[in-house]
Amino acid sequence: MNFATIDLDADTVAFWAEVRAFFDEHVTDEVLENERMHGGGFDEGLHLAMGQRGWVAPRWAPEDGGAGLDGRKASIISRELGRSGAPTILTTTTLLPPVAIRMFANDEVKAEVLPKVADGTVRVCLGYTEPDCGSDLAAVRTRAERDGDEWLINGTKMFTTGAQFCQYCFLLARTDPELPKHKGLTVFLVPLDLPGIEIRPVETLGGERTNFVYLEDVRVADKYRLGAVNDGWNVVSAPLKQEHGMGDSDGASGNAAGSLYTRNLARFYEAAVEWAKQTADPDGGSTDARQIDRADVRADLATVALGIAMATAAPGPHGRNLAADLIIRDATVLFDLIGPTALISHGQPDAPLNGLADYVFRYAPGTAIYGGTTDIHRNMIAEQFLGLPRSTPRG
Amino acid sequence: MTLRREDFSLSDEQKGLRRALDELLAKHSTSEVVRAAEPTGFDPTLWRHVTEMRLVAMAVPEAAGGDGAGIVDMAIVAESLGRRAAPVPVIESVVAGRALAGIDSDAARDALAQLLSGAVGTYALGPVGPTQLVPAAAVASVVVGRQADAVVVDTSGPFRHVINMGSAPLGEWTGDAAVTIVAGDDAAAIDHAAQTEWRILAAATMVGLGQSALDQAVQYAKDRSAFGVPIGSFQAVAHPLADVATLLATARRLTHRAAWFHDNEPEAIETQATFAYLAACQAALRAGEVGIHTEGGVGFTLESDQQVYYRRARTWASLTGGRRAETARLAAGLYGPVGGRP
Repeated sequence: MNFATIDLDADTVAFWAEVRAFFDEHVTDEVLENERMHGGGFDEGLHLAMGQRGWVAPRWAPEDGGAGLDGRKASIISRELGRSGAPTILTTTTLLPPVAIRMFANDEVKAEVLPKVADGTVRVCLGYTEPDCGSDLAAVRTRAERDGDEWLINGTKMFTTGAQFCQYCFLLARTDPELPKHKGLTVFLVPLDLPGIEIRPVETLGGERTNFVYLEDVRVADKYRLGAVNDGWNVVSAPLKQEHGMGDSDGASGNAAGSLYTRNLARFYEAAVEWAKQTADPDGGSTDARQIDRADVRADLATVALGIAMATAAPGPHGRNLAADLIIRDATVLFDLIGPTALISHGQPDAPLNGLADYVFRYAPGTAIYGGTTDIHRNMIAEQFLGLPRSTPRG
Repeated sequence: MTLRREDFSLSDEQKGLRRALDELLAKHSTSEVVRAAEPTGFDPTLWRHVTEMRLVAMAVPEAAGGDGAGIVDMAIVAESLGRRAAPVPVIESVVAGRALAGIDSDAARDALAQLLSGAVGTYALGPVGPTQLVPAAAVASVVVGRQADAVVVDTSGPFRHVINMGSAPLGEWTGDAAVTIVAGDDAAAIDHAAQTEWRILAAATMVGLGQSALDQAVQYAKDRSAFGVPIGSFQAVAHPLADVATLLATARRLTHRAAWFHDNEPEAIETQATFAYLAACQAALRAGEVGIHTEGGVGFTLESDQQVYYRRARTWASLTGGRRAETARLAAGLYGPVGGRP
């Protein structure tokens, strides 16, 4: 057991300062406001600037376009990126398909894609789920049929967040409908500029924009097939394990999704504490009385603080679930704390906390759904950690 | 700009300690022993075994005649004791012993000598009053605690047992025979350290209790069939168990981290011990509820050990005054005193 401060050498300290200065410079108010307005989860200028330094894929070797950094420096980049408040969704998810590309793509496709992922000019979205799938990925119906050296793909992908900024889609398709549902799937890396592909926006309650990707008679060269035909379940599993935060032996860094949610809750909490210190309590009996002096306000805030401490400490899928459950619970606790003015939207002159209450309350429910619902993660905990039988009825 | 390690692993020595204690408890703290020890919640034979293992002496500094173990080690001990609902006040004696070891007074040294030779001790968490329930005071010879601005010791125990839901050896300590052993700022510092240690070790105990409730419920959900399938294959049964696993994993981490800070960087511990205690209360209470519910009617019978975990978790979670008092304490740590302006 050891939680001691790590003695950073001069080089790392200087690097940290450089990273912080970089994000201070590039994550401007304009970047933040643009994300608030459009919710794309991505800022191309920032991403390209990171790519120029090898910071999109900081741990990749320089010959692959990365910065060849050690885990510590890479974690400094992700900390500072998180701290900056910049949109991070696509910058994070674009690194998932390369896990499978490295393992399953041929050399030509690797050479075509990986260096550009690293320099930021290529982004890859996740073509997993579909309108009829939800979290049951093995139910995908998008069909890929072989035609000589090509594949003919037809179907619809949904929640392909960031597709409008991407050059490829990491797409799970059914290649053999006769086989049991996990067995007849194949993964393709589909270039998004092919004829027959249309991307349409889906607007969400939390303000993020996600997408439909429609594929109609799209012809994809066989070289873009990843792994063997009908072995797609294996191919998607590698990056999924990373997305679920289970692929890491180091539990502390295996909770990327949860820490993003908790960071949003913490921002709301910190602003609410500040609000409670500044705001008069009309029932307080003196002009000095502030909301923070009220026992009920203190108890609510302390309960949220405990929730943040818990969500931050929880490892892997535990952290993913706890972070989502707590932001949902506590967004409404803090909303009630502030009272009716919490309803006032961002940008209005009287909005307390600059509209954070509105934002976090709308954002919260999605956290229990992104990247596999909390229910899917409960199945995972029950089956993989507790050894309970597979839940029924499931194929 | 600082980075901290996040290493929750146990050393080989810590694993060995846990293994040895678990073996001892498997033999001498069975369900029969725990039940037979009610309502006092004390088993003298088991107490003899754990003192032979030096579980109390272990945590006292070497200079004061102990083995110099820290609160991290004792949190591991406390979790194992909690798992077995062991009817021995080890953590109470440990907190008392460590407090006495830090005090330069003959009365403190005499009382510590008693503890090191096997007497039961305890630390009173709150102010002394006619209804103050002091953990383990019903079986403790030595009570240490705060009285006004002093820390006092009273070696006239044990005190009157107050029959209670948890079958815990709660006693009514009046403090009549208490002797001041330190006063002023030093007393405040010793009391603060003792309160912190008690919360961390109580948290570890509750994590152990909750873990046993969960383990037993999980086993039941695997073995028990209804509607032709094991009940654990129903998500309505499995998901609450998964959530308990989440709460326990979280509380254990908060507890271990608080323990580490207490041992290594007490100046930086901030509100971590209270976070750990409150998270463990939540986890153990929920584990007890879910444990009973998973076993259905069987879980509600006295036959099932779930009732033991359920009652004990509630007891540990109440001894500081419960969630309301602890949350107020947490708020004071986070936001300063009411009306306090920076």
